Amino acid sequence: MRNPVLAGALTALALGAFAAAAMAADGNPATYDEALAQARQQDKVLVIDFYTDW
Amino acid sequence: MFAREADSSDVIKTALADVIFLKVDCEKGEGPAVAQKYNVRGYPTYYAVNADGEPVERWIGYDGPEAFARAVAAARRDTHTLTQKREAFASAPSADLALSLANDVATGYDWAGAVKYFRQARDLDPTRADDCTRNIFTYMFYGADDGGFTFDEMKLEGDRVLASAATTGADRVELSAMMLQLARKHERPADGIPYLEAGLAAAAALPEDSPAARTIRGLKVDHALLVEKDTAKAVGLRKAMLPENWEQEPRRLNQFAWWCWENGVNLEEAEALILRAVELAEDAGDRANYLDTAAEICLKRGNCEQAIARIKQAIELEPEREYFKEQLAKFEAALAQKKG
Repeated sequence: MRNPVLAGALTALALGAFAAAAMAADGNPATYDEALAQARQQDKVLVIDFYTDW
Repeated sequence: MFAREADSSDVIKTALADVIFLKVDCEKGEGPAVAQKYNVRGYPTYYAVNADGEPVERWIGYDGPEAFARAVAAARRDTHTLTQKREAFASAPSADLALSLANDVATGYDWAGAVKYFRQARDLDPTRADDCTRNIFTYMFYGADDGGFTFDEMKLEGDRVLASAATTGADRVELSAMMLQLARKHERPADGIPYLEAGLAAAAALPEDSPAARTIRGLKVDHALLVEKDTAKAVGLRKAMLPENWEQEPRRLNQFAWWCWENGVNLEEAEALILRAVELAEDAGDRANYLDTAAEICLKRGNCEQAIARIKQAIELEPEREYFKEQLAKFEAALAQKKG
């Protein structure tokens, strides 16, 4: 089994540069993959709001 | 509503301070694919997932900042997956687990399952009885169309909500309207009258711009119809609920005509208005739906031949729609019965 802490750190290093650029205007992550990477990196739960503009 | 309150509510800001938060527009960009991955069926739906993307909580609908914050707190407090929570509940039931599982199955539209878990949570932790009972009633209401609950079962839970000191005036209005709707659906309109009266009594103490304002206007229409037996007043109040220039909007015309049909009132004008909607409609599918309304109104006015003619027009426009063919069979059977 992969070490989740190490994997999180590696992901953070790999994504760190463009993650900031890809951040949504409100400061939240802009994509699912980016949000999951942040959740791993920061050891936090990811809350997803599925909505439409109807 | 969530988007608006997320910017202004300190409760929501605090709840989101220690989680990663992602907004997914299910109609744009990667949204449809992510929604499909989580089998999202309605909006809004919320998922709290762990670092592997596995759900630890999920819930449907936005029920205010406090309820949202409670759900996020539950996800942070216990990061076991929902699968693990189901296993844990089987061996050592707790109110927290029951609430997580209630929200889980409700997200899959399993209303009976949600009610079962909320009842277990209420038994396991009576201090949460008010919240649990409110949810039990709400999910019973959602499941009412499937016949999953009897009227008396729903009435019992609805009365518990009304009896609770924690129930706000606006909630009393909404619950009264729901109970009235259930009573009429179960062909027990007389059982709905006390709720109608209770709803209007609660409404009297609310400001005009209350979130329940539209429901209150609907209750006044029902009061005119069911209690005062004043059809003209009810029709007038119902029309007043429609936006300006509604008589030029096919969708609004259909809305009003359908209300007339449902209540069996003002059918002559309703027929004229729905035929105007048919003329104004630009989309063939919409026109077919309005012709179906017209056909139902004709049937209720005793004109089976005209009902058949209207639904045949709908079938010409939408030949693949099985529903219209079923409607045709229904109208033909009514005509056969009429001819004896």
